[in-house]
Amino acid sequence: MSVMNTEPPKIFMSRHPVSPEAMPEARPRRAGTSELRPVPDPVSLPVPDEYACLREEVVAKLWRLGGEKLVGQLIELFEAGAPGRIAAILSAVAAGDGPTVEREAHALKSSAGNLGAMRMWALCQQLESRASVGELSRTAALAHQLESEFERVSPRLRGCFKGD
Amino acid sequence: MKRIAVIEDNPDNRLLVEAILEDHYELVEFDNGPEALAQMRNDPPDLVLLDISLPGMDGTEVLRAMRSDPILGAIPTIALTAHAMAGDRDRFLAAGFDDYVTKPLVDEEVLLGAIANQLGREQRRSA
Repeated sequence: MSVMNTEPPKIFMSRHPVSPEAMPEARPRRAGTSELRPVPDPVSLPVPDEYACLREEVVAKLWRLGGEKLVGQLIELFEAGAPGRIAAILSAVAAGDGPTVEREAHALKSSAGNLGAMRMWALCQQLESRASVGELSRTAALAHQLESEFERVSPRLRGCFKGD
Repeated sequence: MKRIAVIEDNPDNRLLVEAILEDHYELVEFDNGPEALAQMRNDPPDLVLLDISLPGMDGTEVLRAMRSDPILGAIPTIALTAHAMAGDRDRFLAAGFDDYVTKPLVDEEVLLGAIANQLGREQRRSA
């Protein structure tokens, strides 16, 4: 009689995951290295008020998928990494450093989207799009808006984690 | 159990992919292309999930290296991308990917379905 293996499979990590703090030191992407990245329209949408600050159904789905552990880890990674990335974006905007804006906004967009922070996601999308074509005008306003949005969504995420 | 290589630099995304796949597949994870290529040549996976926007050597360069490698060339490879829009499917296929999944990974069934589809095709090809 066979016995069902109830042990979860091992996940072999090739190395420690790169911490969010280490990411700003990653080598910048060379422009045009991927033909699969579309050239965005730099005339972007207005600030996306219609996007939800937080799509709570996304967090609910994460709960169903991985429970408190998964939600807690994702929120922890997000909260640990976002301030540094936002600071890097603000500095890069001030310095006219498009590649850094693009790289940091892209990474933050991913983290925000995973947790349903859709307004942050949309702001990062705009920053990334503008930076990718060297259009840095108005990115300062977007970056400051991103900073405010993080301050707004962060306590709501913590509230979701506590089951509020 | 089939083994999947996940090549993704963002730890949040790796965490989410783990949560979706760990009960179904054995996973090996990488946060950069060169290390992934070196390790995979020694121990090829059954399928690769490949982030397009890797720092340094990006996903399309990794794929190009895989497709020109006799050991890695035929491994089904699914792009993980935040950039896909309507009509992009042909571009990803033309680049050599077998499929793509958009990020954020909101619906786990999309990823699971894409993987099952590719592994099923591979099984039929080998039969």
